[in-house]
Amino acid sequence: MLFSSIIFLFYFLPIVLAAYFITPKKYMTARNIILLAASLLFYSWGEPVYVFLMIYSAFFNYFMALEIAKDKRHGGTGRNSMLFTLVVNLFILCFFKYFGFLMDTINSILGTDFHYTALALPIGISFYTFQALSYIFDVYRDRVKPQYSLLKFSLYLSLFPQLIAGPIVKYRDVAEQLEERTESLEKFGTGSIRFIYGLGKKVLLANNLGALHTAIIALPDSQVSVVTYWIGIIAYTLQIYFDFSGYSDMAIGLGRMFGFEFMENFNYPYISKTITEFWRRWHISLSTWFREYLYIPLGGNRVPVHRHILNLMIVWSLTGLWHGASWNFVMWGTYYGVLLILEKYIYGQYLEKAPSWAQHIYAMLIVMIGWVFFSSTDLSTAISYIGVLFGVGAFPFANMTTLYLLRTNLVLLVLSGVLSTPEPRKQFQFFNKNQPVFGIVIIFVIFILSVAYLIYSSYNPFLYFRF
Amino acid sequence: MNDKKFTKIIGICFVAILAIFFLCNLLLPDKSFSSAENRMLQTLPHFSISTYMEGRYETKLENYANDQFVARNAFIKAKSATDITEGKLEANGVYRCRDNYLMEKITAPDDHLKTTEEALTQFRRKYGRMKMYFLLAPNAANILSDKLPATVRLNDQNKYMDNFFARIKNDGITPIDVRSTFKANKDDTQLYYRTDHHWTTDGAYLAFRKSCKVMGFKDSINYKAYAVKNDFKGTLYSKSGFTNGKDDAIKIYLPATSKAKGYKNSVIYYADTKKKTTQFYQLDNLEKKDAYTVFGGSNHPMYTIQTPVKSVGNLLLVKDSYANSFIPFLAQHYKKIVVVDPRYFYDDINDIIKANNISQVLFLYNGNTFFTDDSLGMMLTN
Amino acid sequence: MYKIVSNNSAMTKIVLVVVLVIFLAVVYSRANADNVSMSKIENDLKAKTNIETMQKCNDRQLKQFIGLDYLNYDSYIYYKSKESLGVDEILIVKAKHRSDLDAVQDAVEERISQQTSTFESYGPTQVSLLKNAFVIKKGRYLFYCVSKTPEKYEEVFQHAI
Repeated sequence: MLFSSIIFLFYFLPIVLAAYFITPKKYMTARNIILLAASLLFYSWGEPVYVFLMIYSAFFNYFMALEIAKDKRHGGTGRNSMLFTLVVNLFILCFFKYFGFLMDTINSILGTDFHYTALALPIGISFYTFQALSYIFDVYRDRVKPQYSLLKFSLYLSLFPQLIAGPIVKYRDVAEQLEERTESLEKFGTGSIRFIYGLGKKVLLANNLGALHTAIIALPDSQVSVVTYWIGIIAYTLQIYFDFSGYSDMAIGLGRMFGFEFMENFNYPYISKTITEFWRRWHISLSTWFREYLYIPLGGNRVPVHRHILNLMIVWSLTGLWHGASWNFVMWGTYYGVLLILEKYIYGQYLEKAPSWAQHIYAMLIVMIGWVFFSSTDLSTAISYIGVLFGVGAFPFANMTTLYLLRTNLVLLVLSGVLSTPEPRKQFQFFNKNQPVFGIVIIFVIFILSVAYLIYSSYNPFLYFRF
Repeated sequence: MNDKKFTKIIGICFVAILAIFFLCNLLLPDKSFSSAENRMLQTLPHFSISTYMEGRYETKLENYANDQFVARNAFIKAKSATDITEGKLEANGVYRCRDNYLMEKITAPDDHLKTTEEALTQFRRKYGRMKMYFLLAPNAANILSDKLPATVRLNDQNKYMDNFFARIKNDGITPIDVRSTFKANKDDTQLYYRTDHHWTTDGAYLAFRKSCKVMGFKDSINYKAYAVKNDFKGTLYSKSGFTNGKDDAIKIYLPATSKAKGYKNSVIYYADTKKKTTQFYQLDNLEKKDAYTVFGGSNHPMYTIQTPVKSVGNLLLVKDSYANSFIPFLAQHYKKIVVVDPRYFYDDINDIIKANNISQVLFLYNGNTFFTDDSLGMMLTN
Repeated sequence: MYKIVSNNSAMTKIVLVVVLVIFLAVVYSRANADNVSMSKIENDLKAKTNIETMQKCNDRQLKQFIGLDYLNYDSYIYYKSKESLGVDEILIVKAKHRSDLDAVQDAVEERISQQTSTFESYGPTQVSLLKNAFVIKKGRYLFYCVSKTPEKYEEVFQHAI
């Protein structure tokens, strides 16, 4: 099930909200059970068979954390249990996500032709595996007490707001909220606003930007031009931001409705001046996860330079791999690893002295080129796309198709560009103080228009049957 | 108003909206058919563990939620209006053009065309003695391409048509090419509807006059055109959701005087419904959403038209819906026409030819439909 | 709950691993089907069943009765009863992608329900045969059979892939 769907908005959510809030506040356990049942239903909706995997993962990690704690109580370190848990979790993740990738790589290296069947990827497996691991590592390092209630732990792992697309919530950040949290009308209100913003970002902006990008990469060579391809990558750059941050907004908003506070996942990444800054603003929950559980244990930057560089390369190629099971994702991650190293050790200091506008252009160019790798199906497609951007190949600078695309998408592109900066939000908040009624109307116009777009996507005229 | 109050009001409104729509959707009865989209809407699916575990129940229930949403048409209109405001020129393959026209994009031939062409060659060889004609009508975006928005580039239908005509000419099937006639007349005659993908009756009549020349008969009937509907909003409007300003008029051609020179009434017999009529035009259909069905002839696999005129033989007409407004003119030149629509006709065409003593064949299609059609090829090779 | 499980912690760990392996094996086998050619399946059916008593159907009939366009799929076998009032039929479709099978299954279910309404009032035997229709998906294949003995055909099919 997706948040951006009629069935979620007008069937699932009202029922869950009603069930949750009708239950009196003092019966926290009952409320948690309702949330857990709703979350499992939500998950099983998209993955009927894999819900058992989710339940298994919850029980397995719950049990193993307690084993680790037991071992420590008896004087041990819990290391074996921790390693066993790590291996099993990673095995499950690899079995579904990376098996095909592994087989393809082996086949191409050894020249063999082993057959395999690619399995459907369980939704959210990258997210909930990392959440489970954050719990196991923290219990092992005594950063958090183990959870003795299977109900509460399962709720943590499967909580439907952040189950499918994050943010990656570390167990210790919500440990207390599982025990006790306050819901209030005010929190519910800010949650609703956040949710509506996220819905609008996804449905009104991201989906349409995506359609533009898809149309552009489908153009035959005869209609391609340099400007058209730039429009294409700008559209993708904006699409992926609004898609992902929109989903995180909806997750945070929904969480707040039920009294949960999740960490922010995006902080206007496209106003960054350096790549180092970009990764403090983009997919924050993932980069902090890798930082805490991989980078720092490897030594972080408190090691000799050559080891530091190695640490960065390991962490970033794995970050790339986390995003998808293919070499272009690994390339994308490594690309950023190299750039971060360069910024840190080679030109970072010169960059700081450059004028603001130059820094912004530098950062955005790097990011957009990165997205070409991220969005291409393979390396050669990515490289030829970048080639066109910089004038390689006899493509015209602009043509009729360019004008057509600009004419029909200018409003969308400009609006998206502006909304990716923090200014509009600040202005809107200021506006709401003076014209609150107007502000309320605008927020609900966004909501209703999003609903209209969702309904339209099912509009499917089938005219020729009758002809 | 302070922040707290603001957020609280939003919270309440949000819940209220969810509740209102939830209850409306639950309490209002389900619709089974969408006239705007011309398709059946999803009804409440039957639940079973196995369909749930396969994921099929979920998809159907989601479709149900979407299809049965209260005020669905209003939401769809709102989305179209927003699209137009932000500058969109196209929806679902239909472009908003100049002079209040809506036009469908030109379809490129797909893999089916090869099969169809081979089937035509074989069919022609089998019936070497028969005269065969093929009227492939161009579409609006081809003839009226000057009305497309300046920046739109479409496929080149003329290239596809030229290639096709060359091939069938080689086989011995005579092409009827109305493009030059249309281009010559496009400024003073409305050849295509503004809101529908069909040609107008005026366009059909011009195509007919051209066909007379090719097929070798003289058309001497004086017709008068009568507008029978003035607010026709056709398929392109339904498909795109754009109104684009002007509705269409549907015209019917009737003989100028009741005893017009040689005009004979026809008897039309529908084999599937076993109904007989002398009326080509079904005026009741003008009230329907799809008013083009006033020309009759839709959805029947086969029907026959008999007209007591002198003729060179019996005609087999294999067609799509463009022929519906063309047939009344054609009927004055053949004492028997057997009309077949391969999309619905699953019997053996050879039996029909033998049983009805067919001596001529006319294929009538429009480019967009024909270039991706699969049923003609299948019917001819059976 | 925890107390019971922790007292047998080694046992629990073994059970957990076994459960996981079984689950993964089941999931994998359901999705897996050998990449066998349609003609091999057809030959097997001809050799081991009475399929030749039925009429072999072509692209046109696939469209007419099931409503599918043959170009959308890799390959298919379609046999139908020769009798005018017979409802026996076998359809095996090999799709280009697994996801295409949803459309095939919808078309098949539509066919079953149309046939059922046709024979509702005067053909109880036919209706009961239709009620017992087999519809099975495995890998990229869909198997649909209406017959007095659908299991026989299914067995050959399962064996072949």
